[in-house]
Amino acid sequence: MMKNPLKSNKGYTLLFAVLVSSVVLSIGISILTISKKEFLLSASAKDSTSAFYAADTGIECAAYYDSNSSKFSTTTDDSSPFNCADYDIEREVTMTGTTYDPYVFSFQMPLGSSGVCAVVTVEKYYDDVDIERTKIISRGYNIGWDESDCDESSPRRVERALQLIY
Amino acid sequence: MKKNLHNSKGFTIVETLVAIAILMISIAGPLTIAQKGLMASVYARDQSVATFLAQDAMEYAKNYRDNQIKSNPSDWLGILANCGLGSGGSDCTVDTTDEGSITAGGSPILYRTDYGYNHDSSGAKSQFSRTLSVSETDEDYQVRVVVEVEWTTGTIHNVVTLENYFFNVTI
Repeated sequence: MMKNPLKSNKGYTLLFAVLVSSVVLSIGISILTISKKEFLLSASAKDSTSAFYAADTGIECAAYYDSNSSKFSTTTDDSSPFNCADYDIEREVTMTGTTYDPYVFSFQMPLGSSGVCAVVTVEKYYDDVDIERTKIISRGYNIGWDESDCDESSPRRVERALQLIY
Repeated sequence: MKKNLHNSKGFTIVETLVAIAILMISIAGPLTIAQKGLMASVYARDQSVATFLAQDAMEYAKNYRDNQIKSNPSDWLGILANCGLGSGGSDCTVDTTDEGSITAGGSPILYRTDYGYNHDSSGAKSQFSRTLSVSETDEDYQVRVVVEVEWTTGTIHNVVTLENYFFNVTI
């Protein structure tokens, strides 16, 4: 008896099983992929919010000491440490300008012990009409505080910055 | 004719069991992956909501501080001073809907109402609870403000914490 191999029904069960398994597997993997993206997105919303409030604390810290002390003065050099968020900060003078060049001060601070930190620069300059202006730029990070610096890199690190000019 | 009885057409019980086992594994595996994925997305949704609820209370408190500095500079913390500062202080609840209010003590459970999430128990009870606490720092012109939003999925307890420092400064 001649049997046509193309018309044989053998192997149908295997084909069907592979088909069903691959459909179910691809549904599972696609749900996991979407969920993973959602998870990362929601984690970044959380990280970004804590980075934002780190930046906010940095801004308020600089603005407070600018209006209540001479830590960021262009005429008096007061380099004594000051306290923000229970941390003693020593500001650095990163640029000493002459009369019309900007003075730039900077400092870094942690918020609590979770690694949240902020990098703040305070710039004093003269605007077009010769009025002294202050520009505070505060960059907040959700993680990255390492002993005395806010620069430890991590793939989860998020930066939020605020700028204040007055 | 006798030969036909020994002809192995169809499956033996062992073959069937092996086939069932393979099918079970190949279906149960992906289904577990899908189920874990759905759990993660439920967590992601809740975490997003919790984050924004925490931000909501933090911004309300900050705005309250700003108004207080303008209207009553000698008492720049106002009600916030009752949110855990000194002895006998307790965590506060913040209602940001309608008129809005900060209350020392009270149940932290949030309810879903027509206006959004607040502490009005006539709404539908949500899974979230929110507290705001103020603690002192080394200096009396700055305080540490922490908003915690907690929720429970099944038996797993989750929390989103926001930390900020308020200064006695007008910006």
